[in-house]
Amino acid sequence: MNIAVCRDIEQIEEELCEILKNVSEGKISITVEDKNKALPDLGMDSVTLLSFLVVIEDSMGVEWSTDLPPTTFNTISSIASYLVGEK
Amino acid sequence: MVNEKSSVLIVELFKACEKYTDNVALMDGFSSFTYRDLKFSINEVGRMYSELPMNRCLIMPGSTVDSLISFYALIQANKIPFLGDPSWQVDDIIVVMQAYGISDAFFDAKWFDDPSRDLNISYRENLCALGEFRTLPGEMEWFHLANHSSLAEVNIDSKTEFVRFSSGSTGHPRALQFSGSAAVAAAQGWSASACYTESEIVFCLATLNNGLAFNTSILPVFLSGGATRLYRAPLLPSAILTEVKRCGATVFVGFPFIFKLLLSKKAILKEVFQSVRLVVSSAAPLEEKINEDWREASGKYIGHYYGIAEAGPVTFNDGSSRGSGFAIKGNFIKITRDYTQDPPVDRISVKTPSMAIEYISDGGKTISSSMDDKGYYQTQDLGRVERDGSVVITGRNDKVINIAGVKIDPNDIERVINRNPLVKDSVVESRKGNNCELIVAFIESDYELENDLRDYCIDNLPRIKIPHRFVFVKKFPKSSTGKVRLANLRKLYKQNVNDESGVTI
Repeated sequence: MNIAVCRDIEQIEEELCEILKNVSEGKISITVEDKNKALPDLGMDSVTLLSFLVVIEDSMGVEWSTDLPPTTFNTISSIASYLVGEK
Repeated sequence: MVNEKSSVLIVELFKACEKYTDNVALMDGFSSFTYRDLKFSINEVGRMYSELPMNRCLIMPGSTVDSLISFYALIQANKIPFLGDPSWQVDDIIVVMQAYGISDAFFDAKWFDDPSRDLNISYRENLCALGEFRTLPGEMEWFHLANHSSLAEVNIDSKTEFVRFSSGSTGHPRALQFSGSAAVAAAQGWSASACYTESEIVFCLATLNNGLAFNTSILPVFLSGGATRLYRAPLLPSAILTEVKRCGATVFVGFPFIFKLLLSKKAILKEVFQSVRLVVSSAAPLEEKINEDWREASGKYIGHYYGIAEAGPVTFNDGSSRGSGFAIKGNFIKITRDYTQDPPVDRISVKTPSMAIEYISDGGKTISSSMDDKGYYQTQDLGRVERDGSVVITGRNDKVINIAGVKIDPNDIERVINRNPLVKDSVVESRKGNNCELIVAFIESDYELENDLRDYCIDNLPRIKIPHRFVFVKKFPKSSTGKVRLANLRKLYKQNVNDESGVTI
């Protein structure tokens, strides 16, 4: 895991929102204020979720473990917390 | 036997079970079943199902051994399983149950917390408000709908052994009745074309309800004595590649978007795919760039096929020929010029031994009405047959949108949007986006309520059907005959998206 150590959780959340907006091509309209909203409630489908996770792997240099609980991917905040915890 | 009526499908499957008794038939990373185990389990579970008070049911499968055994056991018990789509929301499930007179549904216990699905953790609660879960031994959960008064009375053909769904235009998925002999013919045809043997290990990433899995990875493998490796973990590239290598897959089956995802691990594709002799993609067109990159990175061609829900797999291409390849043995294809279209179009008609029996009460629409006197079924696909006999698909004659292999009828989306009181009318189409196919909704309304309408769609549509873009128009441009001028709307879209996000179309 090699996320730049200097980045704090707010920066990662902002970055995740940007990535999600791009990956979903506008389908998911999200800002940092929505960070605690469940992604399915914002319109996230399983195909978009997978593309999102793969782009995070590529752009942040992480590799998702396959045994993470589904709740890890439930909100922007939970994903960011996991990434920071793995730093 | 557990039932007086013997299933053609089960009879053929059990013949294979006896022939290949000690071979591994089925794996999902957690369990492994030989053909002997498979037959024993289908009989045992089938005996249990035969006692249940129902003559049809919905099964919501996971990619698991339990789901597959339950599917076959329900056929064995003559409970006519309707094979549902795991991407359905609770509302979709209830609509289907009501439309086809189904009071009972079976859910794979793992279906509720599968992280690769829509992450909707409130499914069980929502269902409990409409009925009750009853205890059943094993991994399947049995749901019984409380209110039966809204269940439609629909007849099912006596030869029907199971029912699959395709996208419909009547407000709910279209239900197709299949005989066991159609399923066996489809499996034998595919197995012969793809040269399956008993040493095959078919790694399948499609869910069991999907044609891609159904046509390539289940019965065709069993009738050949090979093994099917179902995949339950999240569809993350590293996890998929680890499992492909671990099981020594000889055939790899996935949707086009999977190949795009896996290309993020280009450096190891060649090594991982060493044991794989056949790679199959279908259900949506594969971009030529992905095909080329894949070939370069893995050293393998991506094969594919042309199939339709009503007729089963029609052609097969191992990746070495043009277009969609050649007709599977026993299938016939012809091109018919349709002069009712302006300009005329060349439509594909097919005749296969794996045809569905008929739709179930689909608002008067029937399969037989689309068949000619020679038994050819006229599809909505456009195409041509080359001199060498290979088939090339060139387009569709209708508006079906294909999102990562999920076929979506835009009418379904328009119908829901039009129910919103602030919307006068809507037109839904697809456009090519930067990353994927986009759903674009043109809205005729006096208001520009993008956020409200988006929230409304989130509440009322399956997530895969939520439009990516909304384009608001005060009044739809119309021709003198009252038809919406789509060309004008498309121009508006182009201006709109270029202003907003620079998406090119």
